[in-house]
Amino acid sequence: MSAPGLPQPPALVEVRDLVKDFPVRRGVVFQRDAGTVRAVDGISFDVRRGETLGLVGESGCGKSTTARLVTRLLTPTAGTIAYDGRDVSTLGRRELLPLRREMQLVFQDPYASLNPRMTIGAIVGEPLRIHRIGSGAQERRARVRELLDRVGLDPEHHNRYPHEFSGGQRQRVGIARAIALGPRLIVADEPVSALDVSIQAQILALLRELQADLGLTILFIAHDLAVVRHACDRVAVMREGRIVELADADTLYAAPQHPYTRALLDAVPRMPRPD
Amino acid sequence: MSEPLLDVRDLRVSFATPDGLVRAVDGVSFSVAPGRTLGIVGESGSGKSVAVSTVMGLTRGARGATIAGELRFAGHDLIHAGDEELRRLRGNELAMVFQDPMSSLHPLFRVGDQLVEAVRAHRPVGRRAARIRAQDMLGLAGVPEPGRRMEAYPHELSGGLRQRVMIAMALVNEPRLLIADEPTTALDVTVQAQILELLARLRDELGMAMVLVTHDLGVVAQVADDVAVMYAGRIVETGPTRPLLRTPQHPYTWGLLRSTPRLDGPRDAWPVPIAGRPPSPIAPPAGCRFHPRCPSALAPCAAIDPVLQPAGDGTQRAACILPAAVREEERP
Amino acid sequence: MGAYVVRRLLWLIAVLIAVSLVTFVIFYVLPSADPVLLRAGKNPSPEVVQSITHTLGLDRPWYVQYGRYMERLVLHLDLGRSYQNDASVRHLLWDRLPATLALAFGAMVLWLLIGIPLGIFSAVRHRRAGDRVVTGVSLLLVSAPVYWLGLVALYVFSADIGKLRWLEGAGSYPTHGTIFTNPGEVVPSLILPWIVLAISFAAIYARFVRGSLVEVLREDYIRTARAKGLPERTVVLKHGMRAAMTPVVTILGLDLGILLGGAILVETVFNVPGIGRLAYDSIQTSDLPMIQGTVLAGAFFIVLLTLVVDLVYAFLDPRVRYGQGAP
Repeated sequence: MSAPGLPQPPALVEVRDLVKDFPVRRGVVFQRDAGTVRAVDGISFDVRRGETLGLVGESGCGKSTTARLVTRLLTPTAGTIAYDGRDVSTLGRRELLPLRREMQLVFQDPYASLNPRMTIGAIVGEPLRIHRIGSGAQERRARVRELLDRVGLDPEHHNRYPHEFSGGQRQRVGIARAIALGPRLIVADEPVSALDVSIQAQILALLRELQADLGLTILFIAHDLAVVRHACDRVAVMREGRIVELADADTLYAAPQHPYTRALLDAVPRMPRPD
Repeated sequence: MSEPLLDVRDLRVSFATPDGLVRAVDGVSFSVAPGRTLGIVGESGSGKSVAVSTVMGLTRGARGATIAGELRFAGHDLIHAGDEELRRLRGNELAMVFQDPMSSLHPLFRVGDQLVEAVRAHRPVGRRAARIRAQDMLGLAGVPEPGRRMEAYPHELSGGLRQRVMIAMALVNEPRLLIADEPTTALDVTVQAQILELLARLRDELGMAMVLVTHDLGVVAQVADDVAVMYAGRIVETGPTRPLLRTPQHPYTWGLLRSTPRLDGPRDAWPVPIAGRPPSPIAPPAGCRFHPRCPSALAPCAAIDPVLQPAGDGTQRAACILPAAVREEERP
Repeated sequence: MGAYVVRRLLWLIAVLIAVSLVTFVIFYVLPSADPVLLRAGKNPSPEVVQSITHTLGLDRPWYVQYGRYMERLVLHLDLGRSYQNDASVRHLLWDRLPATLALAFGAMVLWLLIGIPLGIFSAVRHRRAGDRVVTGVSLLLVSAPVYWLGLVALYVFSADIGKLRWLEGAGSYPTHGTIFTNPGEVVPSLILPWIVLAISFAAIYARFVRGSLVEVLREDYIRTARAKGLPERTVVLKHGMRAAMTPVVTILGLDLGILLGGAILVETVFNVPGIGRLAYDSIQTSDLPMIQGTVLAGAFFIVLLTLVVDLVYAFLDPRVRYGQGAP
């Protein structure tokens, strides 16, 4: 992104020594705590303005928890999260509300993340309604149509329901909803894992376009190093709640340092090069 | 060439639904010789899962299902065979492994019991002998401490272990053909590699033939001898693995390759999407089914429905009317 | 696990206390027949009324009465005496229990024997003719009020007043003995009540089993069972039913709990001397200690059966375990 050696702009997100514990509950009726699971074990990283940072790891490594912590859907047990220079680690719901316009999540499962009882127009328009964007319902409707078009969907389909769309299209709806408020940060939690490979490429291309047009910063969470290779400027590899390696993409793929990174790279099947 | 173990000719499977007739498999032919591995590659809606489920006889009795064509396995006519004949083959000479081992294993029975059941369904042995066999198979499938694991319930095992159990269960009666439907898709990346290795090893040790169904070209690159690419219920290209991946003859295969993220090549060469979406199985496009999305499509493509023709180096076949030269133009 | 059971038993006691308090308060808040007048007989003089009122302790404020009631209960396990006839409530409940037990369990066996196979048949013939017939008939039977079914049954089959005098009618339950000591007379008297109760429940269970099994048969592990080459019978009855039965067992426990508190309507129609009939009678006479006794008995059985069901559930489904470490 920025040339090395020049002063870097301050990072959009700064995470320091972040820890998240979840209580383990025993029993069904009378539950009591029987210890904790440490999902995130003291991680630190920056997400620089305008970059795409990849966060890669296998299931249970804590990457999804990290995504939810950064967007403050969860409260950290310890450590700090700073957004645009401001400490947001312990803000309450009220104070977080304006922040929600700035950071949005895109989810993995296009089948589960859209409310099946709402039309896609309503889904995309809901954030506008909640944050009272636009001077009225009419203006909001126009914005919804604009958004649908922006992500490659037919605006005329705004009153159709999610089940009438394919997985890739639903993922586009999720993205439209995420950019509706004009956020600066998008946290994409495995946005293409549930899609066919040719559709994956479509969504990746869409994200790339939107990033360039809207000046987005993206935290891209994935379990597959091949998928993030092109999209990410820097990549962090997570394992068991810790970041084991963080490097810019060229370096990471060319000369991985940590054995786990190497194991992940080896796991990607080798294909003969097409002529 | 020796008699193929599995010979599928012009298989057609359709389902009557309230929205119309869904032609899930619309004229598919392939064969597998003993000891060989065929990879069937396709995205969602290509019909690949329905095709192999039909080989196993699992689509019989599905509501509104119509099955036509020829299906021969080891001398049995699977289309016209009685239910009992099919049942005796299933889990015995013809076995299948499914995608999601968490939901594919019965949650309320111990793993060992499920394996023993698989043995005793086809072999007249007592419980003890069956248990020994089951435990041996678990060990062969790379499950550590198999004796202890036999007592476990599926939810007590990790994803990789569960898939090993499924594989052990499928192979316990030493089938001649194993069908694996997306066996690694639900697993972590590092585990995927292990499972593929396991399948390849067992295939060699048991001298089995294998059909591997997947959407991931990387998977077939690793394990398959031959590949068939499916799109919209048809096979659009076949050939040995290496030539197919190096010089694909059908624009769809080529599109799939280009949209697969790779670890080699320049980082700024992003995966190239295939425009559009797969067609509806109820109303496929006229002419070539891929033509609306094909970057090389010409006028005749909308009118002519191509059949598989020899292409490339002669071992390959593709269902495309365009001469190789035109298809070549699309390559960067 | 042991700690869990102990906790649940403590909870049982807490529920019973709450129930008894609420019953007490309701009795005083809602208008009902005056037990004193009912006991006193025709045209009682004011002195008699006052005397009875004092004897029954009804001249004290309700919370004092409640306090004395609870004191007796906790210290002596004494549930008081009936306002009507001074009989010991505890004794009466105990006497009536066998009839209710016989009625409840007998009906349960019958409805399971009818309902479950019908449910399986329906599920396997999902949406085809057989299923539609069974579903239709079940719907009819579920909608019919149980006392209406009881009266119709008596009208048709009762030995004394029915059209076809095939079975013993109302009031034929013997005055002496229980099903254990006097089966020869008890069993015939319960056949009609069993059938009537069983019909209503069988219909419900057939539908429930059908629904549960249809869902289970869609699961991936059923596909695996077929892929293993298991006979279809084994797939449905072993793999399918094993998974489909867990919710059914839960409902069964709860239904049994309710029935053990007394199937009031059936016991009344057929004059079976069980706890349900006792409850009905005591409500008629505003016999508070008796009412309290039957309500507590009902609550006791429901809470107890709920605990049993939870324990059985953990036994049936290894994914649910209480008070144990994660495997």
